[in-house]
Amino acid sequence: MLGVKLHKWKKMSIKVPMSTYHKPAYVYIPLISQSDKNVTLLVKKGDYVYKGSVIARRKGNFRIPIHASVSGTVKGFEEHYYLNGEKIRCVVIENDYKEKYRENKGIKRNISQYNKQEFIELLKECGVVGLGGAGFPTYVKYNSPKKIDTLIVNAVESEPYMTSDYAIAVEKCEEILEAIDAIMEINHIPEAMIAVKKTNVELIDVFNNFIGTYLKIKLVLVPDSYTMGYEKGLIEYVKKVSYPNYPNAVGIVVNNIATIYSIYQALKYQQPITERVVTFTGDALKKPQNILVKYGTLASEVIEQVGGYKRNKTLQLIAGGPMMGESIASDQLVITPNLTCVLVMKYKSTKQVSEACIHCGKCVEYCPAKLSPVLIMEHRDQPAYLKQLKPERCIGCGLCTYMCPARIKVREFVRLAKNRGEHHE
Amino acid sequence: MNKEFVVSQGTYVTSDTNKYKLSLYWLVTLVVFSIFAVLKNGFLPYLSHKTDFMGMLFPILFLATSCLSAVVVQIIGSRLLKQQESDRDFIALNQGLLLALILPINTPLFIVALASALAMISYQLMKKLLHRIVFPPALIGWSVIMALYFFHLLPMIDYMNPMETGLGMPLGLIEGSNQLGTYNQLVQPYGSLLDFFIGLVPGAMGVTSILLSMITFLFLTVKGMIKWRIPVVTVGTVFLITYMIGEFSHLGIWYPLFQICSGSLVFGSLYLATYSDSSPVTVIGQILYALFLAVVIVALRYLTPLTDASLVGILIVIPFTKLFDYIGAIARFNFNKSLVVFIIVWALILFLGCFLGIHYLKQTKLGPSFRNIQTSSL
Repeated sequence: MLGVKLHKWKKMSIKVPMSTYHKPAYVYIPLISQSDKNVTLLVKKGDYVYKGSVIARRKGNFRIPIHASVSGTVKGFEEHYYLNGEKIRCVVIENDYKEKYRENKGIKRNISQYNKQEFIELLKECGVVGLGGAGFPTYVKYNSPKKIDTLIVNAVESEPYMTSDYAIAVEKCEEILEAIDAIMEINHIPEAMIAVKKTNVELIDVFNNFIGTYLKIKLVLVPDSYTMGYEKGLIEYVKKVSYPNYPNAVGIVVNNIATIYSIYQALKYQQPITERVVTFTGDALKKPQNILVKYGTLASEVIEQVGGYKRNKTLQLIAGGPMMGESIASDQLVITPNLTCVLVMKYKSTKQVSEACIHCGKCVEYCPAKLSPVLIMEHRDQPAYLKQLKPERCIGCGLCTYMCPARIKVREFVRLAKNRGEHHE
Repeated sequence: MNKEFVVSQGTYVTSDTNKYKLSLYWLVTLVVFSIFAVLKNGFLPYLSHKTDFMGMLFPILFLATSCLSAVVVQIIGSRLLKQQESDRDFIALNQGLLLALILPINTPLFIVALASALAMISYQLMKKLLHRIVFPPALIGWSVIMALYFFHLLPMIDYMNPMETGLGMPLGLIEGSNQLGTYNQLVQPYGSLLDFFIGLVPGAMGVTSILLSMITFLFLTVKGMIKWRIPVVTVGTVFLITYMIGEFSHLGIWYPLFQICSGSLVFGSLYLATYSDSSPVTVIGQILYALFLAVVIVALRYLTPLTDASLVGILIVIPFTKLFDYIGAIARFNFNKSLVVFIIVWALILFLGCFLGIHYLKQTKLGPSFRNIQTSSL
């Protein structure tokens, strides 16, 4: 698999120490889980909620809860921007700054003292989801009848600008190793690997300081290329195996490093996860940095807190990284578990957008999902041909658009074909 | 604070490579070939007192005529067809130079200008009507001119500059012959294989240097500006087939080397077969396309009266690009689906190598009949 080196934009936030923003006056909890708006609301205006109270629950197969991230009073419902660019109905909670939980479950001294069923139930009730951007419920990965042989911890973070995984790994290295060890013991997993980019020397040094006491955990160095963080590509590189749909078919579970830390929190405190580290970065922000933020906080508040915008020209705000993220119309964007990065940059108008494709084949050559994006784009109105090209396999990494010398938004055509295919099914 | 932002589609960063750069790199390499063409066809004959001062400048005039004609037609065409001037690239210059380099040096200038104009007209029309450049414009210009002015060009088809007058075209020596020829017959009249490698042998204006082709190939590949598999597989396969043919008569390694160094095979497979719009985008598609191209070139060279079949071969194979891409796209998920096609191509390669090898072996046993009129006149 070919990749592209894209690390040069990480510098602006990587050297700044991680900070926290824990005192929003209001939080806005969106009634959505991943991209599923089919949720049952469990609170009404005027209700008092504790921190970690279940205020809604997703319907369907993954009945995971949506928690309040602060204690306070439900003030009503408002629409705010979600990371996919849509406005989503949110529960507005006025923060009473008391951080009150309904019950104090204490701190578990030995976080390995769970059986598998308790572990899965805990992950489910604590709302642990993938923090790498997908937001997929983590308990599902472990709730597989097939034996898990390998746990791969993804600390690659190949998307440009993003450094939140790096920040959490550096700050919480010991806790992360403890959590991996506990997960292995609970789930009887014989080996674990932490995948780190070979150029990320600082992170390698940090892990090397502690990893010696964990004999079953290995540090695996991977090439510095985008999309090395892509689950399938990472497994193929590290384990030299391929699989059709999900990695548990070959006995492998992949967790993002930030997810491992939230598993640690769930095992240690047995309380729902209500915050995450988000990278606020971009050349239009005065102080790019990683910030620990409560779910439901508005991005505008956090940006103001860290110094605001550098220049007031035409700007662009992207939820997620510059490759896979979505452009958002306002900074009234809510922080959610699957939001890894808020990127604010100067808007560059690309005059070449409508230029014709020159069939250079770069999009095909670099696609990690083995698609032929240019052919999908050209045959988007021919369903029979399109079916052969399998646009549903697109992972939305954006490499096709990034590589295109004609500056065609190739990914959008593939996405359109993918969505069309899903609607037909 | 509630700030509004511009909404657009991702990605929000792009690579450094763009059409302009791509076109510029191609231009740079073509300029290198042009300098070589001027040296070979103008400067060296002048130093050898085979031509006068005006003769020395003629290659420059030749190249300038082609470029000027292409640029003028491009400007007029884009105005007439009201096409957006979004192409800040060097398409006209590139195609003008490319065309000049594949024409015989003794082509009359009005034909050069006409060929170049035709190339750019075809470019404009393909862009406007088909939204895709189906054939490399220079190749269209070349083929139309070759067809229209065949009898006009016939006396001067020998592609020779004043210094090379009297020598035959390397591949022309075996044209129509019923034998393969020997090193003394095919290579020695021009010096050695090193002369072929450097490019100091008769051929079209600027395509004869393998050394330059290799340097520019490496440059374009390192810069990621070329579908590198196409020239590698094409030249490699021609080498393989001609090696098989030669081995039946125990000719040795010089024979396939002579075959790949002669004519416009290397230059054509590097600049015309890889023309991005008309060549496959998938890796397997590119490999199949190149394999077929090699088969067609060898078949044309040995089975037809065409002396240098490389450019004609490219014209024949290009219409199959979409088919190769279809196979290539499907085979990305399951290589076995392209296996049948690969088996067919390899069978063709083996058949061609063995059939021609055995055919010429029989001819050799029948006795010497190598047609070597031109070399005997030396």
